[in-house]
Amino acid sequence: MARTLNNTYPEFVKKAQHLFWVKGYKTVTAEDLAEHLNVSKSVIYNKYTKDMLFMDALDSYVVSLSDPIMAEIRNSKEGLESLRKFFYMLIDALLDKTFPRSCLMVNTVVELRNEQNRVSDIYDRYFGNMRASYLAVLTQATKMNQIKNPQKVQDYADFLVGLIFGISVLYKIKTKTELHLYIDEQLALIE
Amino acid sequence: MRYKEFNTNKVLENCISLFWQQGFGSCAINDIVKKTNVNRFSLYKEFENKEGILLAALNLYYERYSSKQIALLDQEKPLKKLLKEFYLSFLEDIETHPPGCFMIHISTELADHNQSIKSRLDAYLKQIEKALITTLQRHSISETKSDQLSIQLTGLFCNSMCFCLIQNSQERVSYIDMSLDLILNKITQNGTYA
Repeated sequence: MARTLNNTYPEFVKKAQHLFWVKGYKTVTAEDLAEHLNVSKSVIYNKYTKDMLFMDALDSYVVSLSDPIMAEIRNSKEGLESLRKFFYMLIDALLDKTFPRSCLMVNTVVELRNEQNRVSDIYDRYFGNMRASYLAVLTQATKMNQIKNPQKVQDYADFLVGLIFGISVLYKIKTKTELHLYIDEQLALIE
Repeated sequence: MRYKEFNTNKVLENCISLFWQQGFGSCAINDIVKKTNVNRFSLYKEFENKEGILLAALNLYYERYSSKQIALLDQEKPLKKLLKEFYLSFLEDIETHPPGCFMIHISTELADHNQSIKSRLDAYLKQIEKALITTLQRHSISETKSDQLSIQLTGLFCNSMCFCLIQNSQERVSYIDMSLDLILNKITQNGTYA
């Protein structure tokens, strides 16, 4: 039976993203991609290369997944409560495997560090936007008198950015209750 | 009888740096042969399979590196200084290893699906938590408070072992410094830590 190429490029990226998320960047071969995307190897070698798919997978992680969530946090009027909701949601996604393995960006940091400039540019954008969103929440929370030391909001924003790294490890061995409690106690440090 | 022609720990040291640099999944047995100069047959005979090499490498890593870093907590020094030294000992750029923690690195890749890596991660973090509790109690912090704080401090360990990889050395120091202030400040407010 002839193969029908009715997949669009964004669908390829979505499928490739799942593969990179589960296996990491270095482990995935052109053969894996060809099989997973149901295309011939020459498509991966000549048209949609591994690097191209990987960069677009990271990009789509930022644009379609993280940016909308961060925009919601930034616009929330609930102050610190919106952060609690965000971290609880993240924990749920990790535990029920909506996120198949940790946070894709954290995985990439651990695997590739700063080896590739174009990947580092994506980190900057991702973590920069995250920090700016946390800062917006902290400003809102200050207005709501939820923050004990408003002069320290810059530190708090850095502290909060760090949390996603630890959660991406801890969910592997902790229960939902333990993780929620952990977040509550982290947030209590800035209240 | 033939004598073993290689030094096991030396081979494992090479494997630690190989897996740490390249990841475990993307290393073929041939990469290991090339890196260690030990042939496939001898490797299999000694370690059974690729996972056997990894588990032995993790043991050696603990024995040679992290157990000593955890032992830094036993020194007689002010609490914050002690903790800072402990975290930063993992974050130095040294010649053979990237900064961070090999156990966390391998767990990020494998602990979701590999049961033995998962239980090792669990045991490893419990070990750190225990050492932190002992340290906190030695500094006259109550049992309940120590338990609570040790969880926060273990969390900071996981945060920093990954976050540090994209921070420069100055950012690492200030991140640890600020986070410790924030966590330890919780005791100050209750008057138990001065």
